[in-house]
Amino acid sequence: MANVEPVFETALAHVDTSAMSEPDFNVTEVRDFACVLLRIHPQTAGAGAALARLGLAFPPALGIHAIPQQRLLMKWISPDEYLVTLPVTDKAAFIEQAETAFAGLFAAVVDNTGGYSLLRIGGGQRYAVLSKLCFYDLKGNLPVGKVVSTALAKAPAIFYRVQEDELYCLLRGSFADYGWKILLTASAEFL
Amino acid sequence: MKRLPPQPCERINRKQRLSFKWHGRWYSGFAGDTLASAMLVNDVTPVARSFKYGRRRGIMAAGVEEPNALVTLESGSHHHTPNVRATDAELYEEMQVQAASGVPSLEHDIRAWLKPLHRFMSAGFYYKTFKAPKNWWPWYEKGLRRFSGFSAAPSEPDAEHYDHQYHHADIAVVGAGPAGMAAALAAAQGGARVILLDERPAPGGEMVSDCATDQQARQWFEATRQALETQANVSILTRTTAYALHDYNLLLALERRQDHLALKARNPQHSRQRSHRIRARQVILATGSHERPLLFANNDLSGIMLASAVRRYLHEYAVLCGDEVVIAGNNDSIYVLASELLNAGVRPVVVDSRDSSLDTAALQQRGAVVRTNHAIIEAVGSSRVTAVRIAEIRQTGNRWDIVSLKETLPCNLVALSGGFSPVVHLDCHTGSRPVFSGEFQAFMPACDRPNRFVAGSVNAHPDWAGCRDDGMHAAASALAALALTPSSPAEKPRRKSLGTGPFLYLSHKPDKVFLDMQNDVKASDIAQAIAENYRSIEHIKRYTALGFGTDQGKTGNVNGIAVASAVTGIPMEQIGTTTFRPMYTPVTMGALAGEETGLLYDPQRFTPMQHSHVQAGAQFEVVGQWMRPWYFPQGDEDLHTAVARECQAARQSLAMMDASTLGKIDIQGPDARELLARVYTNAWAKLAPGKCRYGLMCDENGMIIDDGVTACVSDTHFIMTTTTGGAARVYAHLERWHQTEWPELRVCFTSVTDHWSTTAVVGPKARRLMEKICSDIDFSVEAFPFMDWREGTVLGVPARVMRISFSGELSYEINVQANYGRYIWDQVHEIGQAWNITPYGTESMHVLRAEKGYIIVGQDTDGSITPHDAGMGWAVARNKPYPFIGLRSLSRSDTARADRKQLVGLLTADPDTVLPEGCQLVRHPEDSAMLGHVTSSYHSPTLQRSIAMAVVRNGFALQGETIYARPVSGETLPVLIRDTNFYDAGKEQLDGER
Repeated sequence: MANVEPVFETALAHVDTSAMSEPDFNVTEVRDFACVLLRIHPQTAGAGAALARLGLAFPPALGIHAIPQQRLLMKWISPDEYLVTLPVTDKAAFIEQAETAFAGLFAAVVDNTGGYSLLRIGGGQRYAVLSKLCFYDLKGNLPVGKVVSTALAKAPAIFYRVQEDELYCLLRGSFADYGWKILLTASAEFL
Repeated sequence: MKRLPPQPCERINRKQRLSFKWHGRWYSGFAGDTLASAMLVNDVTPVARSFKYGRRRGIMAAGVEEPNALVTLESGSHHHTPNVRATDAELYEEMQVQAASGVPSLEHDIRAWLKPLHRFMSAGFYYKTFKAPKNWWPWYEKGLRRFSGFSAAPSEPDAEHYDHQYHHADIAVVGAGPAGMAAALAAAQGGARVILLDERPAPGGEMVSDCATDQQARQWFEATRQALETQANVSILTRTTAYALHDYNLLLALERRQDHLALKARNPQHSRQRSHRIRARQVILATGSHERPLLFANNDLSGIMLASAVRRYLHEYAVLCGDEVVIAGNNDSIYVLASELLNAGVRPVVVDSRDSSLDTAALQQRGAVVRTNHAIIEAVGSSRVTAVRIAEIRQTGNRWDIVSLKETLPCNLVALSGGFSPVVHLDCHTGSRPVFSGEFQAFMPACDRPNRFVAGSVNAHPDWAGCRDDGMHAAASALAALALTPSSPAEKPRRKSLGTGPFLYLSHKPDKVFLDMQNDVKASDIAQAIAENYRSIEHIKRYTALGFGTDQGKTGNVNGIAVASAVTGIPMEQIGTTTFRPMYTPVTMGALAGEETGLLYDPQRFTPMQHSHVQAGAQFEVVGQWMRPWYFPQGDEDLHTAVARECQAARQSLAMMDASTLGKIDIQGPDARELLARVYTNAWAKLAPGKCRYGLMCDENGMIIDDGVTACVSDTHFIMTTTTGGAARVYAHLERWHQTEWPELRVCFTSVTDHWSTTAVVGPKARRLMEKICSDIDFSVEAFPFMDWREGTVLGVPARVMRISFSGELSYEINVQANYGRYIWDQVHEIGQAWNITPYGTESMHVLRAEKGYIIVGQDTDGSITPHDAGMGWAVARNKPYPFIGLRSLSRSDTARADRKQLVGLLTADPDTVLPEGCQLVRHPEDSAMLGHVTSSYHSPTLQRSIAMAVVRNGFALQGETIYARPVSGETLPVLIRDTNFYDAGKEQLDGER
């Protein structure tokens, strides 16, 4: 049996993280995050109570339920689909608790941590860059506390904001390199 | 032509002189000049040759409506730009300019030498002349192409790049003339988020001419411009042409970001042009109008211009286009120009086709000569106009007659105003038809689509104050639609009238009266088309090529409609217009592509192991956007050598493959099993946790659309795998059937394709390796049989290991969270060196699976193959309680007949001959009827011969018989039909080394 410590890598582990790090525009990959999908309909009997046992509540459509002290965000994705992001170290316990809480209900808990790359996008020109790639009105229609499923150029993407001066973009892992490159191209005039 | 002393509102910067090169000779202009104004002041003429007759042409307009002055910029270089209108190209230092026309040159055009033949080259000439003999057409075409067209296409790669930008606005205002500026400011002051677009370098539009002579206009313009620039909720895009307006107010616009800069001054980080995609809740079209020329013989001579253009060159560029001037028209605007030319020291002759009641005494006192009830019937000159012949005219009903020839007026400039055509293009892009107005002698915008308004000159307001008030009124209406309140009330202004007279067509020398300058369409062509029974204006357009040019007939189309009306006697409103389609002005291909070029044209999807593959020197192929290793060459190996080595490793020892790209769908819920039973053809009722099953998926026609292995995690939880390219389609298929047909099933799907990475360990020694890297799974044949999966820890990482095979060999697929995918791959590769583990790519995968006769959906199937056709009837369970998708269709007579095309194996008589995929098959050597075609074909390193799979009509019954392959090379090759399993029919290899 090999005696090697497993190496955890995110989808953008290979990129030059300083490539987009100017005050006008900066992008960083958030590497300490896990991603768990909860499939449960709010109208399912017992759903609210099950979530309450996890310390959660259903966010409104396109909304986010946040537990800041746990760095946990529960994002509305569709009427019966919620994406929970939280620190990697908390994932296993959360999944176990969720599966326990949902026992007996028509619900599902799916670990999708490996499936996503999470980008934090900031800088004074962030909307100028993103408006070259996103048809969604991120500047005018994505206030703090809102999440939208849209596209970054030709890649599916989930955008959300939890504070004023930056926004987050979730890309599927296989599209992350494309997303990084096209952000790099679009932002060249600001870097 | 001459440059006048500084004008009050000129756009040029006299302190910055710029040089440009026209056909090898250097000229100069000022910063702020357009190429056209610089050419005019330098007396550059002709600037073009006409499309068909090679006639000399000069500059006619001052904006995008220019039909003649097409040029090529930076010819032959990496900045080569074809078919640029000199009238809206801003001059920059060392601009290199060539005419876009002239065969072989601008000075000496062969088409002009053919003048004696021009009378035969009327409408339909090409259709009638070059149709026989039929087989000569390729030569005709070659010759015609040599004589036609404008600029050559670029031959070098573009040195610049392009991009896109999306915008969202409450109100988008198109056009920054007085109407647009007033509308934008009023809208912004009302609280709306506004975007204001204008094709010119600065706001103002035609108002610059008004500002030059009207102090009040100048004050309002300056105040409004400053207010707009300080308004935080207004974005102003200049040098930006709105070229299309689609449904739901999607407005497309092209911004020329660097075209006005000298090549050396362009910022390589900035795009040359940007295509803006604007979503506006309300759109105000303040697009203005285009002046029409008049119709008379030789009206295409150089020196004959639109009156509004003469005015613009005078005020904006301080260029006097001529000093012996005849102004002709049918509306009051000609007198404004006359007055302004008098101010510039020129005494024009005004030829007014109307019996005008306007008091022109003051003008005449200042030196102008005025002729009413007169019209130009012919221009005289060769390289440019030297005189015009005018005549007294009279209108009887709809007909115009020459009463008497009056006189010949020498001149070097003729300024024409045949009325104004509102720029209705954008309003028409969504299907609206403009409406003819007798009052304004123009086709007016219908503006009958929701959330849209028109204002200003496009709405027939001829004066800046009227345009301003109309803009404010449009803004108030748009604000009201947004439930916002304007800061000040706005009344709908009354239109002033220019007293535009009716269209004037005298039928004098109609074969010299040009309508469409760019395409050389004459009045006689319209008459001929009508004589040949073309009645619809759309047909007349296509027969004559009216409006076919890059200018899209902006100055000619309405005159063409007027001539058609005069010839047919049908009123213009009944004739109507042709269809206005995007683009309003030409858009570069680069701007359409934007940043989505090269590697960004289509997303490249990578697995977590990508960088290990790159380091290993893999060659890649694209599979449904995924970059998959194709093969891993060592040293100088070519594809075939590498594949032979890789296949041999998989068959004899140990190989590994990145299978992460397969689609993976997590299916959970009490009815998950039932869902699988409905979407797959085979049975799922008894699949126990820990087991896997191959599934075949059909559409409702019973045709195979996908396949894959599904693992049972628990009674309510399954993981489905799909083909690499089919993942998104299958996911949508499941959702669609669930949401629309079976909403009662309690099941949910989650794509986990990207979450799991998969390393396949393949070969007789696979068990040896797995035992070394995973201690908590019993890999013995008895404990872990084929088509089972186990959960365990591989190299310290939680994993799901599936014992499935796409090669016929012992194989384990190690699925781990993608974050550990590269680690697992690298470790397996390193530890596997003990058995000389060999990574292999998709090409070897194809060979290995073909040796076993395993199908690839999309390659061996094409949407017309049922499971029975594929020889997979064993995967069809007809006795399920609920029918699977496609079951009913499998009972149709056509689907059930025995002689359908069926998937079989083929062996060529010559074992070294590898049939091309797609190769046609026939029953007998002399047959021409196709019996089927080859779907997969390879050289099998294991069998040391070629093998192929094919769909053959009645193929199952023909097994053991010889048919013939007929590749495009023309040979006829005998091939033996057999079953598709070429290797290890007894499945003795499946358990590997025990």
